[in-house]
Amino acid sequence: MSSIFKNILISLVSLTLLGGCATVKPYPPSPSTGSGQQATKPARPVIIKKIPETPAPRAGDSQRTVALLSLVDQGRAYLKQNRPDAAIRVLERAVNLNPQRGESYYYLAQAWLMKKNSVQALEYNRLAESYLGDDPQWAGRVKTQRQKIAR
Amino acid sequence: MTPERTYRRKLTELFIALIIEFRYKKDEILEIYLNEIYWGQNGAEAINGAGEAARFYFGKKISALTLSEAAVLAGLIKAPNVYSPYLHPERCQQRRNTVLRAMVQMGMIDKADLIRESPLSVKTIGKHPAGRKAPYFLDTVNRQLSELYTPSTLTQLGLSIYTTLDTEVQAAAEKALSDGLQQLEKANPPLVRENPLQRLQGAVVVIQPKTGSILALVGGRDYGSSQFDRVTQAKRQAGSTIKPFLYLTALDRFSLITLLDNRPRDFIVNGRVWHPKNYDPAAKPVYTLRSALATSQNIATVNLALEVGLDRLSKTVQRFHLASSVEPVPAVALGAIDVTPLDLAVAYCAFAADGVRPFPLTIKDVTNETGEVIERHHANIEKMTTPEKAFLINSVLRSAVTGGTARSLPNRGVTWPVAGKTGTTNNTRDAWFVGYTPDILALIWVGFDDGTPIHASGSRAALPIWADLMKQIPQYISGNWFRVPPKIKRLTVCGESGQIAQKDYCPSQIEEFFIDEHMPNEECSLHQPRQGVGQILERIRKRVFNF
Repeated sequence: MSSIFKNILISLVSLTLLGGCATVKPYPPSPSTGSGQQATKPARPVIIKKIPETPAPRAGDSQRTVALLSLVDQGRAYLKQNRPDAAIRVLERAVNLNPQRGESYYYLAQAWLMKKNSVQALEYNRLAESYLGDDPQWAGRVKTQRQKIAR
Repeated sequence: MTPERTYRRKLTELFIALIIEFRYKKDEILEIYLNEIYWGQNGAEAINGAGEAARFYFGKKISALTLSEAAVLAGLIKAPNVYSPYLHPERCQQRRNTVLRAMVQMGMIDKADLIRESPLSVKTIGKHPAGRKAPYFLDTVNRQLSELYTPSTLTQLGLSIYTTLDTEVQAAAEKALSDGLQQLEKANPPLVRENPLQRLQGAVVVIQPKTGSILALVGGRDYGSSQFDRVTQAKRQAGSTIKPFLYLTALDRFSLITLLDNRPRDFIVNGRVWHPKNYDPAAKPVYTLRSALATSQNIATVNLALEVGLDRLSKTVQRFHLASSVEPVPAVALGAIDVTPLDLAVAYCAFAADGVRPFPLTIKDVTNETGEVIERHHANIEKMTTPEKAFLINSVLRSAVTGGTARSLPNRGVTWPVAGKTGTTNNTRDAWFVGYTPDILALIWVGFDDGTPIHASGSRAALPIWADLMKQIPQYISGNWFRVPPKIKRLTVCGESGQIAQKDYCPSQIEEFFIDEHMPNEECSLHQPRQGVGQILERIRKRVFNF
């Protein structure tokens, strides 16, 4: 009786193991129905010694980016001169050149804050957060800006 | 100066003349005079100044005018419309010869010149009814200016108006529309109408989505024959271009892998049977939310609208400023709602601009004669939805281009990433295409003013115009696609269960974007891997001992 039970147990174990080995042929993943975008976030630098106000143009940067950085710098300069309207004008051009650079939105929020228009300032702050939220130092500045807007 | 005939005005003129005489030399006075005086009429537009007159009559700069042409312009000053080479060429020739004879008498030219030129007829460049560039855009600007300033301010203050218009984009839009409509007529001759007011029409508007700056606006194919601006004034049925706003609303509750029933069925609306049909008779019975929008399925969309709630759809449509009031009926989900092309284009900007809708801008700055800025218009933005939901719609509308209703776009040379939506209304009365990238958005509408069917879909009638336009403005094509917002996750799910795919076991796997709160968090229960003894024992232990 015990040998029968032992045989049944061995058979069951064997079948289970063999069954595990003989699983269905793996299906190759279906082609993406998505749109091919990179879902992974860009690699974040481990150590950030200093966040420049505006990233310096790099070799290989397109002319568009170089122009954009120059406009953002101009915008900042106007803000320092307490000329928010002039700053908004050039920063909007920067946005049109590359709508995916968060710095433009941050300074636009700053300009609208200077003009005491908290509604527009908040909208641009939200956009800045959306683009710069991953960057620890920028995220802090964006948060501080939002607190100023809320006051 | 105002035109009234009063002693006061004459006295003022007298003083002004004395001051001018005192302050300026004779040549300078003549220059001012020639730059300001009336030189004829082009439709509703006055031709003022020698430079504009030279362009209008001869298509040249003043410095390039011949002796005969210069004499024509000099002769026109007396009575521009009486001696117009366009209206009265013979009178114009006689008047020109009078000027030439006077020049001989004054010793400015030789008699040989007079003999050579006199018999020649006056040759013009040919009158172009829409002489000014971007006439529809300028009309829009004028309407806005008239809301800001009184007519006397506009005519007397010497204002300079700086606009958002990009003349290269405008020229490209005009050409693309003109060529596109001609090709449609060529392919389908019954669309040709002899009466200019009844011709097949179209409209184009090009916007920078983040700021709302209108780069180009073409309100019709020929301003000379119809000044009705179909971008800002026409109200047309939106058709399927309305669908993304429903799907956006649905994203509050559903994900892009939610399955929708697409089987034909009757709907009872206000006691009447309504039987919507899919454009494609071979449509599948079930679609995911993504594929239903990308391929513009009608029945699946109506089912979704009923699931989401017609009131909520109506509210979304109103919130996006597409209509002030919308009756909550299922047909709204298929675009049974009248919109202006401009409102529709601006509403789509919210998708292209991380969920914010810009106020459409045409005027940037207004300065007075001293160059001082007296009016400044900045971009004005309003949050419509979250960046995450906007991104999901962008992703789906990109699927429309890669494999949906706008899939012909890559074959037309549009090889960079684009989101797009076609639209065709009942009986093909309207054909739409809205396409965009993060940098630029353009909307095309094609149809007859009286609603006669054009027998062509949005993908056939409007999409080719969009493609032609974009290929002509590479300066606005960065090739960038939308950045994935941080709260969006990409996940491979089982196509059958909608749960996280078991990598090697689920036969149908879908890669999809999810908003955090709608992300599946359980592994597929339909396609589990075969389990080993250890796993089986562990399950038994858990089940039996409940720990």
